[in-house]
Amino acid sequence: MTGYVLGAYGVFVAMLGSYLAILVPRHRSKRRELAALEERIEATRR
Amino acid sequence: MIIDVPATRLSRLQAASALAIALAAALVFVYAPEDADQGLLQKVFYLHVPMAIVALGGFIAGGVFAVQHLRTRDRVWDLRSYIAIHLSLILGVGVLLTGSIWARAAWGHWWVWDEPTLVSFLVVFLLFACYQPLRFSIEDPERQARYAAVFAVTAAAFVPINFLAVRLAQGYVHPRVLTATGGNMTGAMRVVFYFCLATMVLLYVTLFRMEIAAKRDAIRLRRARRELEALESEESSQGDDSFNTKASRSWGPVTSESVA
Repeated sequence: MTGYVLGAYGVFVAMLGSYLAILVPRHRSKRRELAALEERIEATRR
Repeated sequence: MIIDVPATRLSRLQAASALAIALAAALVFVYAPEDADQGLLQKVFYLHVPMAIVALGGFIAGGVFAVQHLRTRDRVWDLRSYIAIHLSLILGVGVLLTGSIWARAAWGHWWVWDEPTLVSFLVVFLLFACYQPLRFSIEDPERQARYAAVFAVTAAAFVPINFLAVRLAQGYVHPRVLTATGGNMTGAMRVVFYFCLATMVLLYVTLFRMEIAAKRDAIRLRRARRELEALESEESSQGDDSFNTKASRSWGPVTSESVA
């Protein structure tokens, strides 16, 4: 029974972990790119 | 306009969710008493049932947001509807997997086809699984949002209908957790169950806000790229104009014929 319980909670942890592992780095890289682009736009305007 | 979630508020939500998950795990495995009938296996319910309730609630929320989109034609509501359904689909996969694990341990089968609760959830899940292929098969953004909203409203209407149909069904063997009499849970079990339900709602809201923030930044990034391209092409055309002016002064106007 312990194996089934651990399996069920393991599924949840694995799903949440992989979801965050995909979402968070992608979001961070987009924010970095956005900041760099905004700097370039400012420099081009000047 | 995309809903702007301040970064500090989002960080607080993330911290609250992490804390609530840790507390919920402690309550489930330390505080909640073991079930006399199912023993340790009953602990799966504290995860499986809140996940199912939040997934179905998310599908309904997706439908409500879609109604708002159809009423106002505001793309923000379409984005909210899309994210609500997207998150509920992920939770739905979790519900089916954890439910199958529990069923295998309790009934000796991964899946039982004559069980109304299981089959009705699968029907709702598969119905919403069609949402994304339908959505991304349409290229025009306006039509995509409108068709997806109509689908979301229709599919969301199935959720309460399915719920009622299952409750009215006679021959079910799936345990009832939420009933007027409190099901078969003791006071401590019920407290832990409701805490787990609140934690799942908090987690859903946090992930929803995170997705919204990610989509908002993606839209800003696209706009910034376009703006930079426009600025650079404007700059290069100004450079060409000044070259043309200089060239026309010395050699006359630069035309396709003169270049040839």
